[in-house]
Amino acid sequence: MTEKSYRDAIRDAMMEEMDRDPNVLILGEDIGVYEGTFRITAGMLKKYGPKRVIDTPIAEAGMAGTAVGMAMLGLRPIVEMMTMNFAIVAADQILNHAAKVRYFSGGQVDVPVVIRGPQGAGVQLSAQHSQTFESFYAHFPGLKVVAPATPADAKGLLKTAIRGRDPVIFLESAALYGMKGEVPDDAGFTVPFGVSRVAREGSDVTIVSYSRMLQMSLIAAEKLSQEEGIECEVIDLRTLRPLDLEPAYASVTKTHRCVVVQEQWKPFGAAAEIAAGITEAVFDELDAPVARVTGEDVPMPYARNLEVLATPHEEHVIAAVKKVMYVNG
Amino acid sequence: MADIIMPKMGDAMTEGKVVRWYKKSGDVVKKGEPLLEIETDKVNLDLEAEQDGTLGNMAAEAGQMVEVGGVLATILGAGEKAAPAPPVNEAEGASPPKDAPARRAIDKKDSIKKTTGEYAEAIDMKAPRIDRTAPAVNAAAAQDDGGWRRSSPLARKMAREMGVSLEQVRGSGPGGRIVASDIKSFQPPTPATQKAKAPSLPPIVTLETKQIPLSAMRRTIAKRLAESTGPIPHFYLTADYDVTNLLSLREQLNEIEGIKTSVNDFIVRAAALALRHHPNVNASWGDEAITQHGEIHIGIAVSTPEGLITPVVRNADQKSVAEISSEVRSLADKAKNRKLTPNDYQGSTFTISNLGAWGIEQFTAIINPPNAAILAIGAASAQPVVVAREGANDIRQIVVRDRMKVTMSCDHRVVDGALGADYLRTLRSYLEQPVRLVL
Amino acid sequence: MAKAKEQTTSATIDPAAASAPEWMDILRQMILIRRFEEATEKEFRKGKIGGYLHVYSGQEAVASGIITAMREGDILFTGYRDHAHALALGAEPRRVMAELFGKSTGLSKGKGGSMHLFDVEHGFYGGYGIVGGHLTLAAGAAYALRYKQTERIAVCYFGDGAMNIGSFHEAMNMAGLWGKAGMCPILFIIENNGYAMGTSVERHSALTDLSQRVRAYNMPTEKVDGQDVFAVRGAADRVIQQIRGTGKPYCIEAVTYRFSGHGAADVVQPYRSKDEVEEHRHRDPIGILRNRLGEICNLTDDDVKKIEEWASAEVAAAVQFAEESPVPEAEELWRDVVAEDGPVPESS
Repeated sequence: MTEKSYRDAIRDAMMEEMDRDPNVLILGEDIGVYEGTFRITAGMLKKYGPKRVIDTPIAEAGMAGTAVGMAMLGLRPIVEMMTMNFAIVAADQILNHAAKVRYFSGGQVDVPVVIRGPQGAGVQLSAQHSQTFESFYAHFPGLKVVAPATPADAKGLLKTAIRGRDPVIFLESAALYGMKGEVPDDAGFTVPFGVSRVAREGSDVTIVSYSRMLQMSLIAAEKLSQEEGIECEVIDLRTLRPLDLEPAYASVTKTHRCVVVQEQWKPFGAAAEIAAGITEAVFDELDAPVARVTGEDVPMPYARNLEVLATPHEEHVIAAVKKVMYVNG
Repeated sequence: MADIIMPKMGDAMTEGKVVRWYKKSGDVVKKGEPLLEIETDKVNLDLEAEQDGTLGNMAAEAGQMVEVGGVLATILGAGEKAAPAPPVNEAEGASPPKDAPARRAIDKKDSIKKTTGEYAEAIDMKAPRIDRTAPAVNAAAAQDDGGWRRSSPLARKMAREMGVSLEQVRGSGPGGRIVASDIKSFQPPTPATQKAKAPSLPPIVTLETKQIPLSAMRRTIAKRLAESTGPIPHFYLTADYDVTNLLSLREQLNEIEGIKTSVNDFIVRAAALALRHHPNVNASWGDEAITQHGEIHIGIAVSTPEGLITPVVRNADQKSVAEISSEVRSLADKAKNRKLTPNDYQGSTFTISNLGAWGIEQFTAIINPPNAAILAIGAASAQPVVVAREGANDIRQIVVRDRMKVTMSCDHRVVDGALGADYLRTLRSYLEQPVRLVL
Repeated sequence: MAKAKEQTTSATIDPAAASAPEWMDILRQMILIRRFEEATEKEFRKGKIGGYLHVYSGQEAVASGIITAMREGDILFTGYRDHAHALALGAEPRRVMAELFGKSTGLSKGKGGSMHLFDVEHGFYGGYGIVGGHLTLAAGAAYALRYKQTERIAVCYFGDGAMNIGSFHEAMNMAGLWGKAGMCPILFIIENNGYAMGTSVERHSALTDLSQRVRAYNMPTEKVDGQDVFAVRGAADRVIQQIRGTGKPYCIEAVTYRFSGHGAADVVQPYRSKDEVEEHRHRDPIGILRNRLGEICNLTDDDVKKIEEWASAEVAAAVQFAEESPVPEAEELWRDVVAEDGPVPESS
């Protein structure tokens, strides 16, 4: 184990896989000479050369589409989107092509492409640069959607993504890049998709979340424990597709109350899917409606005070937990 | 004088690290000369002197994280004096303390706060969250919702399992929703708060044999009561039941060929069924514990030439009126012929003594140990009763109804007044709505 | 840096390009494609084929002229008017027809249909239904071929209509860019049949010289008579050899004409006159080839009749096979959405 940042864990995963498999390569905007907007790819061009670390034009459809073609021919490309907001430009390549070719070819091709990049709000980047996309991609069969909350998961899940046979949307929380945590050193370390984990045990309320909101939920849970004596069990989904809600079901069976926390907008979001799943699976265990904590249903504003109002915070999680506990205040 | 500050080099940058100083305090520097190297999320770069002068007020050491805008040092022009260095605003949780490993858990949180600095701000602001998509709860509608009780799925499941009727439970959740805690804390309401109209029964409790340890209070009550009134401290409760329907039902039943029931047979079944709701009446006093019995065996006082004997109808709550009737007749015959075996008259958990056939209107019976209670049944007789006229609650009238007085003697060590009263109320439901006896 | 330039290939016979027996094979292939497409229209009308059906009649020389010049291992991407490309690459007619019928014996097990034929074994990496979407895939595939240090090349067909969508420009630019490092061995074919669905080139493109738009991406182009398979094949032989050698992209604009509607359902065609269609029928690529072969190797009407009969029989057999094949099992619905996951491999 070594303490690493989320950012370094992502870079380590890519470099270990590039060392291991010559078919792994990476392409993106300003990832080589410039060394990446978030410096995820620092040092990679120097080590692997321009054929494996490809600086592309500002052409997301081109990046994603060529990567899909590479993947169909047996390479394992990683596409770095400068931010996932820009990946929308490549929606046709991702949704109509990457997600579909295996199926409409009757299984004749694998599409081992990883499309990764940062997302999320928090530093006044306003409406076009602050969005989160997990429910958008998780809607589509044929894709896998990953949203790690810790450096160790970032590394283990990214390695699984690179080694897989399907297109993976790997959503990094920009706000977590500097977060540090213990990461296994073993080059064989991977984290499987579709296996949620209990990030904190508790008996009173189940909180289901992922990515940055998972970390925020843990802070809220500590606060609730210390100040209110309410013990939350916190479930980290890790991957949105495949989605493993079994630990959430087991937890709700114990706590009878559930709060789902997401950064994105409320309508048709991941929390809606998770809440519906819980209602379908363990309806009789619920003592309160599943509560959702989400971002405000508005484009992200620029002004600092408005941005703070638009994003979910610990206080909102705490309020939601109290609400499902039928505790006032 | 010019401050050298940590510059913001990227849109997501909130802090930077001092890598090394090229100059030390007091050094004379020239405009454009590199002073120190800093490291940001994106790049390492040199900060240069913006003017000629002398370096002073060095506020950040190599390796230290400094917030964007934080002063790193000052360049003093000729003749300027170094002001005392302001405390540097060190980025939270950033500098690696010596005992870093021990603080790991805290570090983790801090590092999140560090990278998502808006949290602290948000908590300060305590941003109110108005959920515009939440369904509005109509409080008025919640009160009168056509008999449908709002309740959580878990509360419904618990109520099913515990035999609690949701109608009796008061919901404490939003809009009167019955939630799990309401079921857990549910106590059958006392008569005072019970509406006389449409009485409903307390839950049937699963029977099991168990010992209820004596509490200090219970020991004290027992001791005091026994001291005052002998070994078994008795008290008595009398209820007056309307048995018009019961008598009519008996008549109907007896019209069926081969069935000949007595009023007492109905009372035996009613008493037994009522005990299912109040297992703490179906109990016995012991010096170490009160025993609640897992089965309901009703002793029936039968007079014989030799005296009183109480043969037992076993598991009376599980037998129909007709079955009870034939069993009682057979036991009475055996008693008169002295053919009862100990098995026939031992092991009762509750006893009924009926002197109605003797025309006794009301009497008190002595408890048959180790029972905790006995019912003394008087004769049913026609009585004038004031009732509301059907369909017109404000108009009262006198009608003739068959009434019957029942007196319950209780062992106060086991059965308190309210409990005995509860039992008699449950018994009323069975006797006055005798259709329950044939269900 | 050499400036991109356009060549125009005239319709001259290049005896070195293919031998007489090979021209006979090409004729057979083109006639088979024509008969096949006629059958698909017929079966579409009967309701045996669902969805969209885009037939290729009139453009056969563009498919056959290029594809017969490809080598084993080369790969091809195209749009949704893709039956001819699959057949020319060697896909079994009966499996193509079965796919159109939505049968389990189809190339894609009945899950792709007319627009998504795939036959990876024969180098066919698919028909795609989003205009222009596949161009980027093809460019990336070409990169992969060179990355793996092979001499294989990629061929990518698209129509004139695809040239107005963003991904065309992104693909062309990236191919041109990667070609500078010899990392993009790809032949782009503009199948310029004059119409983007029902909108003519004049009405859909600011610049009607389509090749000129490609040259903007530092890619050499040439324009060929797409009705003359000799011209197409002649250009293909030369250009493919060049691409294989240099790893640089190249673009051929084949000027052609589609005899059928845009889709089989496109019965009323207000965007073009019957006279215009008739006029172009005089330049039927099969007729042109047949006449030339009459001159070169004394091909007789009898010979052609025999080929027609063979092709008709092949197509009839394909239809029968498709007809008799079972529909996909319900289980097939859930297969191939994602890979059947095993444990994460330790090494690949």
